[in-house]
Amino acid sequence: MPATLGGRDETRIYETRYRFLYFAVLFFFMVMVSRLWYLQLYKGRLFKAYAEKNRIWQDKDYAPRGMIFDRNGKLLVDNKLSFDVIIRPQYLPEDEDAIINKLGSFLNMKPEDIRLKLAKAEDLPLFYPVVIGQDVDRDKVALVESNKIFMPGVDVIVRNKRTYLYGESTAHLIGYIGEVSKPEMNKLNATYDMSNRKLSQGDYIGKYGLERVWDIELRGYDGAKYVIVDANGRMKSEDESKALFGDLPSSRSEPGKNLVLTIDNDLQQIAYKYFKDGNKKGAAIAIDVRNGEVLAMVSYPAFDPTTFSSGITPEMMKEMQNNPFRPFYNKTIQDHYGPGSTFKPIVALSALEEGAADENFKTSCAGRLFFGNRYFHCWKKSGHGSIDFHNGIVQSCDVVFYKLGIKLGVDRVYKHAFELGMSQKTGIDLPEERPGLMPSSEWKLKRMGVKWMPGEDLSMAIGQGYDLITPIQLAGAYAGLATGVVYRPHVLKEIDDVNGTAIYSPRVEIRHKITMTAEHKEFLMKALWGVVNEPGGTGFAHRLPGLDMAGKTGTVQLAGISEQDIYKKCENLDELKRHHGWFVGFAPYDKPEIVVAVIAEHSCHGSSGAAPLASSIIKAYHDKYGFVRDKDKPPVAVEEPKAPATRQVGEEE
Amino acid sequence: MKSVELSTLYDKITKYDFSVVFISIIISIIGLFNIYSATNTASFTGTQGLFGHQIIFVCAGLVFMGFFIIIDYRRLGKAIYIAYAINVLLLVAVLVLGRSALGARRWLSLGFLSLQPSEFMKITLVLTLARYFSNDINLEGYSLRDLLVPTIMAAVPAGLIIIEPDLGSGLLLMLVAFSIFLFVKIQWRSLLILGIVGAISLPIVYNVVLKDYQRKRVITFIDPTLDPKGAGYNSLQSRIAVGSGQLVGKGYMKGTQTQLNFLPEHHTDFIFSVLAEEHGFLGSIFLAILYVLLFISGVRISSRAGERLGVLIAMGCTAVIFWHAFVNMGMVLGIMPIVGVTLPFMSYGGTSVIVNFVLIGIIQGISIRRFMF
Repeated sequence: MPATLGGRDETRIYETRYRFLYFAVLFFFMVMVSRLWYLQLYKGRLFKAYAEKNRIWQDKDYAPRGMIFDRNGKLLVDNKLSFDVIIRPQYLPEDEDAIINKLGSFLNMKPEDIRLKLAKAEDLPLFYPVVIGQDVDRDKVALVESNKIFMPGVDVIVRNKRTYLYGESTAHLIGYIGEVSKPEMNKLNATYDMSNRKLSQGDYIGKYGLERVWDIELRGYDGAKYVIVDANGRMKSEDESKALFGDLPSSRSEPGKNLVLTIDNDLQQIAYKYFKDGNKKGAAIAIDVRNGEVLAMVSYPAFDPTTFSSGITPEMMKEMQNNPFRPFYNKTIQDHYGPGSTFKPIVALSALEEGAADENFKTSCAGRLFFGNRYFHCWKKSGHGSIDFHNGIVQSCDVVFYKLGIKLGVDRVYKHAFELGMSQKTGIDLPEERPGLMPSSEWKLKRMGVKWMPGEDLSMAIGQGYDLITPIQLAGAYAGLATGVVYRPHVLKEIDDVNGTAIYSPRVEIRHKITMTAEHKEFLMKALWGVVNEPGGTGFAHRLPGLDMAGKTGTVQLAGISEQDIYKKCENLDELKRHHGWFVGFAPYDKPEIVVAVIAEHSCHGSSGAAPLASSIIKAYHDKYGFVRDKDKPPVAVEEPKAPATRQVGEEE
Repeated sequence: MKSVELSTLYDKITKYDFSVVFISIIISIIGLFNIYSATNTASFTGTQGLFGHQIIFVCAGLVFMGFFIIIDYRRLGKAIYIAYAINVLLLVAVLVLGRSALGARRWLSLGFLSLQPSEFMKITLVLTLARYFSNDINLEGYSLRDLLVPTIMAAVPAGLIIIEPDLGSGLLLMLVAFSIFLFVKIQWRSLLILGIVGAISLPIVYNVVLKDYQRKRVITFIDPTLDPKGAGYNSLQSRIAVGSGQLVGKGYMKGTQTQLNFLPEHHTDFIFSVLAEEHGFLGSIFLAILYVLLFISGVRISSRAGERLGVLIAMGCTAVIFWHAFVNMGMVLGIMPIVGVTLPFMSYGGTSVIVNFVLIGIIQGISIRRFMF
């Protein structure tokens, strides 16, 4: 039964409450009447005069985008002042043609182009400034400024221009910014719930690299203030506006947060200059093996981010896209290559751990091995003769690894390669990383529908099979061999607020732990030390006396070389058909701190194409920071080993 | 005989008070004229067709109103918990798959029509709370513990709406709920505790619990003039429009602020400034009086309903319209923050018009059933 009011008492109780309700209605009326009286009668004449003669406009106070520093506080990205010529469509007179033509002649622009820009902004509120000329030079700015009074609606505003102080060298890492496009704007705005976070046309966002990853943090908050001007755009005195509005609302911009990177700019520049000055293509990455901090990350050829950020022409874009050396790719994470001989230590680890061979494994190399129905060649035509496991790695003997490959089979190698991070993204804090590929028999059956052939074990074992690896993965895998753990690589050290106080720093995180006995590790370390420090080692020419660099060279033959090209000397091939050279090195070998992976595309040899850079990065690192292991003991003079008499440097295949 | 018939007809008319219906229709007609002026401005803005739409919306609203006059509000009360659950689910659905407009997910697209569940929630919540309090009678006043369930009933949809984000509608819902709480009587002691706890905890939450960026979010909500993307500008232009109207206004379709498009969105949230500019102080006061009459009629119907459910529903529905009008006009006159709240029967928009007429229909339905008790 519905509850009727419970007799008199309840009715009386409600009566008092209804009195409150009527009072609330009266209150509403009084508030409205008094406010309307104030605005329309008391201040009405002022407002009327204002509405006829004056205008409000909004001056945007653009937030300076956050700056970017290297690990030692060296400035990498800065904001410089630049002038934009804008139009506020609301204040354009009826016959706007005269103004548009005049402005066009000042800026050397076609009137149609100006109209196009205005048309693009048509669905924005009319008081939004439309940028007509970006980063206009001072002479033109002066012309516009002095004629502003004849061009109502036209104005010059000061903005920050993003300037990448080290240009191409940090292009892939830091990326660039650009004007937000309409689809991007709609997509992004839908994800922001703060109105002062929202983008409007003409705003800039990070488009690539760290600028994109940390866009929101870097961007900061724009502010705005309202200015009262007369019909000709002249500013009114403050007293006048105060009489009408009280204090005009305004908000100051809040600068974006600053990024501090793990990058050491000196190492970065060494890597960049190596490629640029040597006219080489490729990429280099240096990582601190103790925490995954990326010390240098360079990919070449590159592009100029400053030019990109102030807008690029479609022709420029097309030219870049058609460049066969892929300047848009950050090759350290976005390109994968066959690992070549750099894969051999991983096979060696697998052989030791799986018991397929022990440290005393010995065999003989006749320059080739017959398996199945064909010969598999060693890079050394004459063969290595009788050779042990240690020298098999040091001299990168292919036959040794063919035999290990046969004993192991692909799946047992897969297990260890996977543990070292192959076939998986490293999880670096940059977008568009590639996972590379480590084949297994299961993978091949699934992918190609054919069984794994025993012959493929051989090419897999020397890194020439299906295996693909990114430079950052290779660096990670060697960090894993050298220390037993692989940290997640990262380029961001911390985010600072304007005062330099850190407000965020990424977690140091172990990605992989490697199963490896201490003896096996020691054996491998000695072998990799030997590659660089023993006469006959493939990296001997680039040894660093006293620094105990260890490492491995590698060469990748490109698929699609024609029959007659196979026996040609690599240097005689077309550049695009030449082999890639790898070098991955770390130091010091017994207490590793830094690992460097270098790919030198089409350089024919890892030893001559890639090793010099790895060696100079490690040397520069040591010169700057020293090694922790050397801190407590006095430097020991190390005797220079004798150069090999028989071997030519850079012959490794 | 004839005179007898006439007198019974007269009896019927006086017996059944249709004032809320009449007043809401009068405001709607003023609203239509006003929208015609606002959307057919001198400078082309692509809003010319909206007047026609609004006529259709008003007609649809009248049909809905009729339907809700005929339907017995007690039947609505019976089914309301289910409707409440569905409405909350719709709010969740909006968050998950809603269509985004201006960065806020408020609409749910059903192919042929778009729904705004947050608008319907206003009706649903009033009915839900009315049902709850009419089952749970407490003449001595409710303690905080008694209010726990109804508070959750209001806070859940309000929270979902605020996340959308539509702070205006969410807070409005809380305001309506709180009005109903006050009306059913909260114990003085509880009210006092509530006030003290609120006064103490708010600054603590603000200063200690909230993170820096969250604080900033709160500030921009409270003071949208800090928003550089336009809301502050709208507020200033709106004040200029209202103030320059003076005593009698600039004349129909002659408001310079409106016609020259200084005021974006003037056909929706800032519609009152168009009227104030073109019809001045006298026109504005006239409209304010119409609203006052509407509220008084609503409250009177509540006071005569004779049954607890009807009392609470009529009061709650009137409160929804009241707070809308208060917040919207306050915002146009520059004494309240800019939150997107429409002016009932005046603002352009289908859902808003229909919801307001449904509210009137429910109130009227209570009025004509008051003799059943």
